[in-house]
This record gives sequence, structure tokens and C-alpha cells, in this order.
Amino acid sequence: MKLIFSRRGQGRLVEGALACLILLISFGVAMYTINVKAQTLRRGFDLEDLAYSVLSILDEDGVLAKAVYFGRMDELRDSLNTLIPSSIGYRFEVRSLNGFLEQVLEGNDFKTGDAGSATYILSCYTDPDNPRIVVLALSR
Amino acid sequence: MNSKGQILVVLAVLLGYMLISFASLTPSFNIFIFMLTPPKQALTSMYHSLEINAIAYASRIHTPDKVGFNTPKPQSLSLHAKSYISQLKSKFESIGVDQALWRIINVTEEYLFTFTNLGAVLNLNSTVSALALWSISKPYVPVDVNTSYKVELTLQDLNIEMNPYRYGFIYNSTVKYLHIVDNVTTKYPEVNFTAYVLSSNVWSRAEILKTTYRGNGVYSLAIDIGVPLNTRNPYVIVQVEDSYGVVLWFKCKA
Repeated sequence: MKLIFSRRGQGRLVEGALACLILLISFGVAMYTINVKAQTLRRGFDLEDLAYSVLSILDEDGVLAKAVYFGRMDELRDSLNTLIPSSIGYRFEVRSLNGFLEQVLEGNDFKTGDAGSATYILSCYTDPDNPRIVVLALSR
Repeated sequence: MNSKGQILVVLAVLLGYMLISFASLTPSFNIFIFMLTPPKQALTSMYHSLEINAIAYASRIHTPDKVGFNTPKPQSLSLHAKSYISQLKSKFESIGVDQALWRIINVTEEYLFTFTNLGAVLNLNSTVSALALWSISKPYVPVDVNTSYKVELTLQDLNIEMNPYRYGFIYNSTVKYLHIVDNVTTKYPEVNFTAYVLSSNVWSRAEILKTTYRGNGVYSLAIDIGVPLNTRNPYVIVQVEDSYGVVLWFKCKA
């Protein structure tokens, strides 16, 4: 009790309060930063996850191979329109291993801004020397 | 405020900055890892795709038309399946795609292809199968992946009867065809049947009069085999080609 009422004690209290204040402000700023960034990234993650899921489903069903290696792009377009909500734009790209763009399919008013994408490797028994890279980009 | 207090304040400021930096870095760190690591579901699908394509590639090399209906050796089929993967790998190596993509196809651990009874003479309830079994773990892939892909063709029933419309015989057979993924998921792909019959020591194409799908991958076939060399015990080949490009076939006797 003596310490609290002494000058030295009051000084400590002020210092402690200041430290708490700075910590609180720091926490506040940190939380604000986390919130803003997490929201932005979360949207990216969601789109990326969705893109990977869509590619997985299409590949497991054989739709990807049929579209890329047998030219059945209409089937792919129908499947993409079914699997991807109409509020999400998509851009489906087929590239050779050296990155050359071979085919593009866009739908639902795709915008390049807030987009998430998935990269997938595709091969086919008919052409083992020519695997492709498939990219599905989704945007809100 | 004395010097101790000032040190305390400076420490608090430093701690605050550290907290902010850590909080800001964590999501970036996560996204950095995520970008290099496709989700396990996508990675597994890619491996399933490689497996079924390797099976299809090997099975098509030994289609009946090319081998004169000789029973292929299971080892040679496995080698063909493995060579499919090797071709892909060498393609990736020669072009030098970036590291993240390379890691996806970098199948360096042992993987197994087993072909059973392809082209063999089958008894009832015997199965022709092709199995791909992979177990790939770190550091070869970012997450541990265990996959299996099995294609099965089973002869369920067969009998021979007189053709009521012309002189000759009809060969009725029931087969079951399915894909089993990771011992869990069963798929019933679209299939095309072709039949051949041995007459006068020559294999010739036989007309399939009727194909009836009974559900769950079970098909009943009515094959017009005409007048075979040995009417009591004719040899017939049933060949199945599915929408994934896999060709499985077997010989059977009525």
C-alpha cells in the first residue's frame, strides 16, 4: 500500500497503464489487419477450392479427357454450367506443357479481378507424349 | 517516467509490432503452402486419372485384333502400364515444367499394376481384372496419397441354344463390368461389346443380336455364333471397351 501511494508506485501504475494501452491498441490494429486480410484471402481460398473440386469431378467422370483429347467441348461447357453457380464466372484454359494456350472456354461473365484458380495435369492413353495443363479460374 | 518505464514501453511497442507482423504473416504463409499443394482430393483424382489411363494404354496394346487372340503375359501388360507413366515423366523432364507442377507427376516410389486373366479361357464367375495400386508419400508428394483403381469383368452366366430364326446357335452370356476406385467408389462406365467366334480355326466377328442392361454393371448378351466348328463346345471371345478406353476380354466355352 505504501508503494501505491508513493511517487514511485504512481509512476509504475502510469507505466503499466501505458503499456496496457499500447498493447490494446496493438491488438486492435492486429485484429483489424487479420480481419481485413482473412476476408480477402478467404474468398480466394473458396474459389480455389471450388475450382479444384470442379476439376476433380470432371476428371473422375472422364469429361476433361473427352473435351481436351476428343474435342467434346460442349459436354464440358454443360458440366461447368451445372457445377459452377451462375454468380461465379469461369475461364477454362488448356495449355501445352510449355505454356502455349490451346483452348479457352469462358462463361458466367468471368472477370479477372477477384479470381481464384486451380492448375491440373491431364493425360490420355491415346497421346501419352502430349500431357496438358488445365487451368480453371473462377471469379465473383 | 523513469528508465525502467521507458524500457517497458519500448518492449510493449515491440511486442505489439511482433503481434501485428505475426498476424499479418500467418495467412500469407498459409497461402504460400496452399499454392504449392493441390488439395488431396485433386491430387488423388490426378493419380486416379494416371492409373486408369495407364491401364487403358496397356490393355489396348493387347486388343484381340492385334495379338491374334493369344493370351498376353500379365508381366508384359504391367510393363506397358509402367511405360505409360515413364513416358509422361520423361515428357515433363524434357520440357522442364516448374517445380510445383513437376511434384504432382513426380511418381518416384514403387507403384504396382496387376493384370489378371486378360484373354484367358474363363469359367463361370471368374474375373478378368486390371489393378493399379499406388502409395506415394512425402517427400515425393506434398501430402501422403494412397490410391487404387480396379477394373473388373466377370463372367456370370452362359449357355448355348438353337437359333430359332436360322440354322445355327445363339450364345447367351451375362457379364458384369465395373470400376472400383480406392475400394470404396464403384463406377459403371459406358461399354461397347464385341464378340468373336472360332470356326474352321479362324476367329471371326460374331453379331451381337441383343444387349440388355440389367443394372449395377450387369449385361446380358445374345451372340449369334452361327455354326461353329465344335457345336458342342464352341469358343467365344467377349471383348469390352469402356468410355475410359480400357479394353478387357476373355475367351469362354459354353
